[in-house]
Amino acid sequence: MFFQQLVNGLAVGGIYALIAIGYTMVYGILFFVNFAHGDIYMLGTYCAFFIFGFIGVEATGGVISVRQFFAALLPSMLACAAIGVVLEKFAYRPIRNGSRLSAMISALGASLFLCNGAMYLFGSQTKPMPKLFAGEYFTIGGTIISYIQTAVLLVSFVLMVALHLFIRHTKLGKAIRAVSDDQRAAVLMGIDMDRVISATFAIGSALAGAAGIMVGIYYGAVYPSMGAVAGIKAFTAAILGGIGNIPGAMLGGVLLGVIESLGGAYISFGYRDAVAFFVLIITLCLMPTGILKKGRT
Amino acid sequence: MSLSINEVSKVFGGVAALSDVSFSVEPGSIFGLIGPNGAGKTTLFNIIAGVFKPTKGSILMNGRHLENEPNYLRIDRSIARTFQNIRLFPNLTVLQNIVVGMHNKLRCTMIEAILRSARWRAEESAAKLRAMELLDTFGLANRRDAIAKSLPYGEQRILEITRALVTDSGVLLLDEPAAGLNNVESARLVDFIRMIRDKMGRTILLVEHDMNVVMKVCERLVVLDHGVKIAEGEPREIQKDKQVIGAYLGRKFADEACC
Amino acid sequence: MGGAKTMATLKNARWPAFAVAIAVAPALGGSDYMLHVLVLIGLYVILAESLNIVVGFTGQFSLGHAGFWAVGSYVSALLLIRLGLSFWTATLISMAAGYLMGIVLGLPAMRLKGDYLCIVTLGFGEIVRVFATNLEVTRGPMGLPGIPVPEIAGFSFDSEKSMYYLSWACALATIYVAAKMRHSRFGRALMSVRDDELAAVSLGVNMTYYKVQAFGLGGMFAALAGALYASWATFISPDVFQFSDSANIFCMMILGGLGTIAGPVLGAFLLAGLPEVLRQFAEFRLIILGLLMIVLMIYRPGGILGSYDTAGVSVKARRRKTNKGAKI
Repeated sequence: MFFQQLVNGLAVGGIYALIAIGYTMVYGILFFVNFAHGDIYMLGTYCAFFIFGFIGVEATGGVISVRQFFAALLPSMLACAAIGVVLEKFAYRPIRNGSRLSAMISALGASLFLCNGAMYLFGSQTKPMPKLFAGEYFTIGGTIISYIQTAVLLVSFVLMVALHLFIRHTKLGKAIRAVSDDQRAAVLMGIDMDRVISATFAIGSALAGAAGIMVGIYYGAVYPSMGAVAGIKAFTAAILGGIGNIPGAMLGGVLLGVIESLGGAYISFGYRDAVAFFVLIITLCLMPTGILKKGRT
Repeated sequence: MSLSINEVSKVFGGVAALSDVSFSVEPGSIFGLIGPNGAGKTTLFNIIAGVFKPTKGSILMNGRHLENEPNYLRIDRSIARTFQNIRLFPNLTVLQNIVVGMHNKLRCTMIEAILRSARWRAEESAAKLRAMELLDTFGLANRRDAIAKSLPYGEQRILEITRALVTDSGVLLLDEPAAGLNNVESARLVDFIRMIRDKMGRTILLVEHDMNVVMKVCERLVVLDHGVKIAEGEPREIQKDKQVIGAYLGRKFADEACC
Repeated sequence: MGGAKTMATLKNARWPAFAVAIAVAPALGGSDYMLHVLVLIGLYVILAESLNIVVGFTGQFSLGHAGFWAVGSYVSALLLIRLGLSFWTATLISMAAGYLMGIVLGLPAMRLKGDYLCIVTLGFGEIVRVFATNLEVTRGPMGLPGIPVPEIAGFSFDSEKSMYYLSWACALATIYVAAKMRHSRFGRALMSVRDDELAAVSLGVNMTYYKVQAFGLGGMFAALAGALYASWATFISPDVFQFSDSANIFCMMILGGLGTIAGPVLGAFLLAGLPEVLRQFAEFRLIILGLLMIVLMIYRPGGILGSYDTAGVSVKARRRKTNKGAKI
């Protein structure tokens, strides 16, 4: 049972990690919690939902091919990136020099707007999503590992490696790192803040979008309020790993997924969410900077 | 009100910021703590004010050990302070700022305030009266209802010192009181500090960069360099001290200045 | 000078006038539905005003206020149903429970600031909900039905009108306490911690104590709102106390004007009242609310009454002086 829960936890943790990266990147640069991030993730799921509908996959009990999955993944990520950039431009850029409290309220407002906007446009009821690999699985020493879990882990891993390479080796990635290290010095060196911030929102939102699709097909459901809990969990993961620290967010996400899964199995399934928050509170009280400290990616 | 610093050392992450610094401040004196940048003045100041605990050594106030006491108890030990980059309560009025300074003297609980008991009314009006007296003395009476952050810089500095005075602490720690003041304001500050000592009988310990102010107002100085006390004495002696000149200007100048 | 005096008198009279308006409002007619909405607003006034003690006065972010509301509701409801205690006893015990929970939540506040504190308080709210959903005694997601209506000295508050008076009496009491607190040693200590922790400590303010107490008092009044809510609605379930409610209460306080007394009241009327009045726009109202919050933060980050009440503080102080002069 331990290994089974470990595998389940890893899959969910990979998804948390993808969302957490968005929180941590924005925090690393603007020092505020983008509460609307969870809603962008939700919109990612809806994007995929409509793309699957468009290409004619049966939502209930339908099965998509790997190619169809990627056909939905990329446009959804792009759409989320666009939403993230627009959101920053309209809701956050005008108050960039204001207090962090204003930014937080604005983010809460944006979250309300996106969540309820989705509810209005798409309806508030849960809609079914098609599945990838129709529940096929393989076993290793009695532990059931489904194809979809493997796929989720693999895609998360590839995206995180891609992000890592981007941040390390491209000019824009280096600019993001510079701004997160020392904003004033970065600006003095001629780095365009607006561009870096837009890029940060684009990347974070795209990864959230990817997480959204995977959650959609993993649990087979999509609904407007799905961003709230996932958002809180992912933020927990970001803090667990040390907010502002990208590898920390990855580690924190996976760790949270595993802790939650094991806690749910060994304590009680109903208290799974509480376990996550207890971990969060204890981490913060003992190690206010998280497991890894801020910043040097 | 005798304050003494005994063999105080402070280590930050393996680096010694202070080593075995000792001196004592005579009651009723104006005492200066000076030294070049990075000498450890601010560290020592913060240890006396209770922000840091010393790694080693003790701070004694009338024979009582303070080094391990929490920060907020310094007022009860009759030590008040100001800050280098003025720290008022920016959203409170001038009067409210002063009344917060009386925090440890007011006794009424919140229940009494809610019930508006006679004791509460008496205490509040007495507190306001006392605050107004002080504001009047320092020429801020007409500003009583201004929001603190709206005051000009010089007045903010005076308000901060007034707020420290209203605590009735015997020892006043001033952290670079002349920082950001122009010559005229600095001259006024010197008079102001003297007046606090002469009329109110407070002991003053100040850290200051502005040598003009230091030499005019201080009666005794301790000079720190690289965390070590290199000299102590009256301003006239300190001005001639070879080691001090060396610390500020470099060894070469020190030799020239003396020969 | 005369103008200033009139202004001062007007300011002086605004709360008594507000109380009178509340008292006579039902007599002006209005349906049970109107009263129902007003009861809800009254409860939100208590919640927003109590959160204001934590956030507005003390500067400690809290996004878990619905957690205290839930604690108050559940404790009171269980005491009424299981133990058959009287309404007042149950309410007082639930307030004590809210206070204790506040103290417990205040402990992390000693070490954490800003966003970290936000997320811990948010976690607290969620933990309360998880427990309410899973405990046997709270009947989980099914909730607790059949909570008796308040009964005091034989009088039963079973009509909307009587509940209206009860809830607003408590709301006005909360407003009064918050207003008086600002002019007490205690309240000034809270505000000094908010404005500058280090300076406050240097003046002898025991920061830890005041932060924890602020959470305690905030929790206590939120629990009062909870106890009233439970007996008014006669049914509670975990769904009532969601994160969105915490966020909603937070927004009431910010929109009205953080740290002011009138702000949270105005915020409660706007955010709890307007959606009910604009019921035909039910589908849009939260979308509009979200937009409104963004726009307000861009153009008026201090809230609607933010700057007004800062001016109000000074006017009040001056008035007190003139009164004293008159007496002597």
